[in-house]
Amino acid sequence: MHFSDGKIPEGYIRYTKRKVAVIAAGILALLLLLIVSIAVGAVDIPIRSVIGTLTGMAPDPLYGRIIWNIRLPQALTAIVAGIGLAIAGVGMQSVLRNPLGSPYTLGISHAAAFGAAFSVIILGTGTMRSSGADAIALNNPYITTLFAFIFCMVATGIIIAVSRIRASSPEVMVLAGVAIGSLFTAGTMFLQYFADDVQLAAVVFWTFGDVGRAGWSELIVMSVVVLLAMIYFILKRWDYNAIDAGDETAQGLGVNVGRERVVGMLVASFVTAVIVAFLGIIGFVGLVCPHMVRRLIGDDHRYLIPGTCVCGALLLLASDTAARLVLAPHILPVAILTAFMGAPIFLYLIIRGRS
Amino acid sequence: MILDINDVSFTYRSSDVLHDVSFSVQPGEVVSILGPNGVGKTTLLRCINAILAPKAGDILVGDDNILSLSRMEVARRIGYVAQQCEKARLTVFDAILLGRRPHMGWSVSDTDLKIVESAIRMLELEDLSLRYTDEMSGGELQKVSIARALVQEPRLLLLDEPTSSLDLKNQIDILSTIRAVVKSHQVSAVMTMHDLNLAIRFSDRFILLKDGTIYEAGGQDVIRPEVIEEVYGLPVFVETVAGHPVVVPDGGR
Repeated sequence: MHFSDGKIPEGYIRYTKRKVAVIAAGILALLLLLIVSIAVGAVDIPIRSVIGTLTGMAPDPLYGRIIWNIRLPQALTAIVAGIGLAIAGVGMQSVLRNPLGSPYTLGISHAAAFGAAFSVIILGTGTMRSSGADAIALNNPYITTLFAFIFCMVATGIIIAVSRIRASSPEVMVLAGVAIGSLFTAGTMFLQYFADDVQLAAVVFWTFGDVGRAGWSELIVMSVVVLLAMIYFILKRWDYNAIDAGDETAQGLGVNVGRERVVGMLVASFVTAVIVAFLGIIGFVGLVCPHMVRRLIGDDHRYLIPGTCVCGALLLLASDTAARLVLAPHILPVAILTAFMGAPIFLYLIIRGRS
Repeated sequence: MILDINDVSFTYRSSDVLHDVSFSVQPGEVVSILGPNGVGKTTLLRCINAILAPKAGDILVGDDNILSLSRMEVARRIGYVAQQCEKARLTVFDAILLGRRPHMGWSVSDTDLKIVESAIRMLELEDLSLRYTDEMSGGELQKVSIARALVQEPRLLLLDEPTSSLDLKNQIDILSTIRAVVKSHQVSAVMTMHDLNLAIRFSDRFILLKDGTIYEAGGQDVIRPEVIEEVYGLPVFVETVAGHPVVVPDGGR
């Protein structure tokens, strides 16, 4: 059809620039927070030394080790895991067209906990160290990680298999996810009931998600997976906008809705599985970050997906920084703080309504 | 020929919905599919758009069998306005811009923006262009869906009850717009309609479905009281008011 008389819509261009500005402001805030996060902790490092060391312009021999070996990998892990969990959440919410979609609500995280419990209790990969703050350690973290990952993917497989029988209906996927979550929670409780106190402590310790658990090598694996997932979801931005308009409309716009639903779920679950396996369970980020961003800049996935990445990174990094400060010198696992920090903000946004 | 349907049958859970439906649509034609609730009008549109696959028969769009095309290739040929449209936190402009997706590369081009801007004016949605669709009425949303299908620049428009949520003026405006677009660009529109009088006024031809198959098809001459009574199971009068044939149901009250 010929719409030759069209003009460039100035108002719309301004409107999209505002969204870009919000995301850019978020990225700036994230960079500032990154520097603060590296500076604070058991040892306070002057901001000047942090910047000097990171940029290589004025490496600080005294703090350099702490920054490169402890603070930076932990902060970057918080950023990467925040992005990964948030993008998994936005992906699941989009393909399922359900605001409650997230790795936590769909039982993927519970499956990981079961995998870890199975590894620790049945295969005996958990043990107790005698001293210090980290009293409990996993004597074979790789096996525990592997089992957590395997059970994440098993849960995903079951959800997708069940939904395939019913033509990839989003309701079936959500209900299957809730059922799987309950099943694995019951399984974990069953194993815990027969565990001794050392194993029990190891399992509970494992489930407290903690970004301090990852070193550079784990960080690299997570970064690659999260980056690939980010690229995937950003490529699908128009498809998800179309799915928002209804399955039939999306099909009419050339989207293979059933396939997008299954592949989107697989990608989101895979990212979650990798992060949860390395770090333990960190709830809330995947559920809440997409909604925070929706309320700020709307449902348009061209902006929602990058915005959610920034929000996830901010929330997890801020939580982790706070977790190191609130009970200093004790360090709280970040999973406890994400809900403490995220829930009030989220409730505020719900009460305030949409801008 | 834009659309050619040969002996199409569709079965849902072993019960026949459509059987042996055949008709074709020429460029520049507006065709209305009429019939009672549950007769399979929407199913037929879904088959044409390859959302459902018929059990038997062929559907050709241009020279291509619809089932041999990818979803994206279908979307470049057919614009589909579903009966249900979901609301989202998406502006009217963005919701219509979505119609450019089948033609879009990596990013939105100036041409895409201009086409959407022009469609917004065509459907008189200028004042709503930056409103979110989740703040809109059903009728406004229906206009957005129609605008989206138009910017898709299809050869064939499929419209499932395009006027069901519209007020009197908007019904006439929208159907006039659709008819004008079809005539001026020699594309085609196939729509399902419940309002017989609107269908009569804006369509070139009518396909009347009864019990899952075509009972009668043709131009305005098929709108006869006995045909309507047979299809809908209600006696009617067909009168001429201000130069337009009008179907008036007998009974009620």
